[in-house]
Amino acid sequence: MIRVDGVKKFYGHFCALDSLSLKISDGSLFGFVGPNGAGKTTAIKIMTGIIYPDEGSVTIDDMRPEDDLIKYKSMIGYVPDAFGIYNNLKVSEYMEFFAACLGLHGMESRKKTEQLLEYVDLSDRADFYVEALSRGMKQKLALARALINDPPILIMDEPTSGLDPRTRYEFKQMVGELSDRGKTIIISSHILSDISELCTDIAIIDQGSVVMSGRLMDVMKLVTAENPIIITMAGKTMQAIKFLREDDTVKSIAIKGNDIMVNFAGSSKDEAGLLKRLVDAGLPVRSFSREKGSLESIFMQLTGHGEEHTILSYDATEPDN
Amino acid sequence: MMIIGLNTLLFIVSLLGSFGIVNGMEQSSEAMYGRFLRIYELTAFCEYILILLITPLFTASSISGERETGTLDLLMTTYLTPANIIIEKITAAFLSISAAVMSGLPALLIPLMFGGVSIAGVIGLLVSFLPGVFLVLAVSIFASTACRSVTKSIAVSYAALIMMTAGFLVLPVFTRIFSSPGENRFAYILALDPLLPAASMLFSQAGEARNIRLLFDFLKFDPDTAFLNHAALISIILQIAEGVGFAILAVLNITPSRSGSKRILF
Repeated sequence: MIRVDGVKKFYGHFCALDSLSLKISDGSLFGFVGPNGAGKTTAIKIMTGIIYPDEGSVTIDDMRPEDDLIKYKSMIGYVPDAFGIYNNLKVSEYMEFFAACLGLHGMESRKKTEQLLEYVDLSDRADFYVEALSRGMKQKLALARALINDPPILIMDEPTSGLDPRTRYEFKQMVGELSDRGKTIIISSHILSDISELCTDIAIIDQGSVVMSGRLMDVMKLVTAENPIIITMAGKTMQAIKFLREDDTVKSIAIKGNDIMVNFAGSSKDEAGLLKRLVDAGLPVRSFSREKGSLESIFMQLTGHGEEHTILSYDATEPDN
Repeated sequence: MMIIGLNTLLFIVSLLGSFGIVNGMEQSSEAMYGRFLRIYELTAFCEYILILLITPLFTASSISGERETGTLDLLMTTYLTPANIIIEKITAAFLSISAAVMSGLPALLIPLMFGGVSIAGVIGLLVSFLPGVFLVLAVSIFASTACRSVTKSIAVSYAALIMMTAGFLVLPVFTRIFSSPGENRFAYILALDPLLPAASMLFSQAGEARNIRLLFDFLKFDPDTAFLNHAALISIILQIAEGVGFAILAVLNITPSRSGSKRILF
């Protein structure tokens, strides 16, 4: 298990991470989401042992990087956001160079290079110069490099950004396969659809602190429960609004196009009760459903950049215009 | 490759100079060994200056360049320690420059066709360049760890090189104005100048060892005879120690630590 406890990191007077705490269980596919400048890359670099926190600690199975840095590094494969290349190296040389840096030499190194290049479908590019590869291929090569010492943990910073849809799909397939093999994978990404498709767990970070974390399904449910109920009427919309304003369970009402958005506090049983009362009152309800939460809407709400707040601008207590 | 090209140029200049002297000797029937020694001194001095000018390029961008391309982070996630990275970069650069230094041998041997200094003496002189090279490499790699961009690290390395060569000479020249004869102790700083061992050895080979004494006399300082006799050795030891010190600082500068924000960074 990876534990991040109260990590603080300052760059001069700027606080990049402010008491960041996380728990990432073994085998999980963890999505790390946050706006630009939220501290994701700093957090990732601290987790990989590239930089140390000013306060707090990061442990993998209770081991801190300070305890045994080499052993700590052996457990992590890192794919950075900026793909680091040596222009004068060929693909196979690049792999063999990093294999040597990770203690593999000679035949062992060549064999591993061949295996990994085949895995990421770059065998036919082994003799190409790295700089001649497309972005997608470079990203695959970065993944192959990160797997050289077969680490149990894979940390990827923005791995799918700038990739074409096909390469993104292939990359996600590979990540899914690696997760199925039991690797713990941490992905930071701005592409929230990728995170919601791939990840089992998530942490949303803003201004250096975690604003929400947990199982993706639980987070989605939690936010979905706070979403408005969308009621579409086949007619008598004004009567429906009047009826809803008199209902005690309705907190606020907003109108978006032909839909009535109801901010409703209650259980699913209460929701059913509200629908029954509307129908019993002879109001023609065409559809009645809780607005589904997307990772994007959660992200926007939690990081304070949401427009969803404005949807609920018509308060039930205000006079009807 | 650049230094080998420059050494070739130096070889041609040395060759033409030597033939010029031989031509003069044929016409005057006078043996002018002193002129051969002047050519030897000039060639050796130019060789060393060229080496020193080129040396910062080998390490000044080594860490800042890796930082710019994002490969430093990758190296830091491998089993290489910061000390491994710095030592291996300095060693690779040192070996390349040593080969370049030795490629200057033919240019220095031409004036010696007519006698004077032995081949072992010339090789000894070239070896005396190496402590200065090591110091410049170490200072440059430290600048490379301390600067965020390649341009800055190269500029800082050359500023440091000027400081170490010209600066260490200018400072005692400046302080001599305020010193009584024989009292300008700032002249000891010359021992840190990478030019001193080479200059000392070169003067000694040309039979002009007293030139070092004259230099100190000019700086209004009367050092111990032991210091004067071993100026080259003392300077070499100091430069190696200084180089090791800068290499250690470079290692510390890229070592992750909880006080990372206190690193030297420009």
